[in-house]
Amino acid sequence: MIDIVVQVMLYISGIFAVIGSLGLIRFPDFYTRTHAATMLSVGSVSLGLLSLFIATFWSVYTLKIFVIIVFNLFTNPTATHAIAERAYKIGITPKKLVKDEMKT
Amino acid sequence: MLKFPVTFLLAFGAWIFFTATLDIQELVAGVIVSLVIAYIAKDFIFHEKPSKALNPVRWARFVAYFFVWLYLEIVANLDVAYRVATGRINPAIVKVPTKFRSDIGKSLLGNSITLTPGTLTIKAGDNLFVHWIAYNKKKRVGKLFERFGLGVTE
Repeated sequence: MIDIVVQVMLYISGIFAVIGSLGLIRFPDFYTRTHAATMLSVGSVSLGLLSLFIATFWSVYTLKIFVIIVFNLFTNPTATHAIAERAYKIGITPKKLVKDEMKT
Repeated sequence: MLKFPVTFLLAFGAWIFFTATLDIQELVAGVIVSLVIAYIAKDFIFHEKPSKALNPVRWARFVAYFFVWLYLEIVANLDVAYRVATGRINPAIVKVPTKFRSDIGKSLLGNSITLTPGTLTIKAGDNLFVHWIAYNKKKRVGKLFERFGLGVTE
């Protein structure tokens, strides 16, 4: 029963990884690609690690995997934000933008 | 004055977390290491009153916040997956005014927004500026985060 749950979660995580990678190719500019990358690192990695969390339940590795998930969730947005802010500052402009409230 | 014991307890908790044992040798080593870490790090961890971090009501609210976040995360993941498949994007940079005043509150909101696929905090200050892949006049970015997050940090 638990094996099936773990397998399903790993499959979904893999599907998200493929879709996120496709998004990296398909989206037109830096900022939209970042969204696909965020989806990769949160949706795919967290889900994959969560399935391992269930698979190893309850052993020495379980808490460590939990800590890895939490650290990933804390550090990933911070790094993404730092990259995006710097990119905007050095003048990488979005290719398509319906509205920009930052300029005014 | 509470800074030191709270930092110590956090460090010691983390130690038990990682070693995953209650062996007496490990515990003594943990106490020594935690004391050193608490002495060094007590000024970096807390910029505000440490009693805030120990309040159980805030932790309960944080759990509620976590489930709200989880729901939005799943929805946003599916939404971005749909947009990758169809190529239908409507990007905009919007200004998100916020009621958060403390640093930790602002970083909670900004990180939650960045962590949700489809929204990305570009600039954080008194107002956040967010790159949004699916601009919609009627919706607001981070509305639910703000409603549930205010009780956690403010």
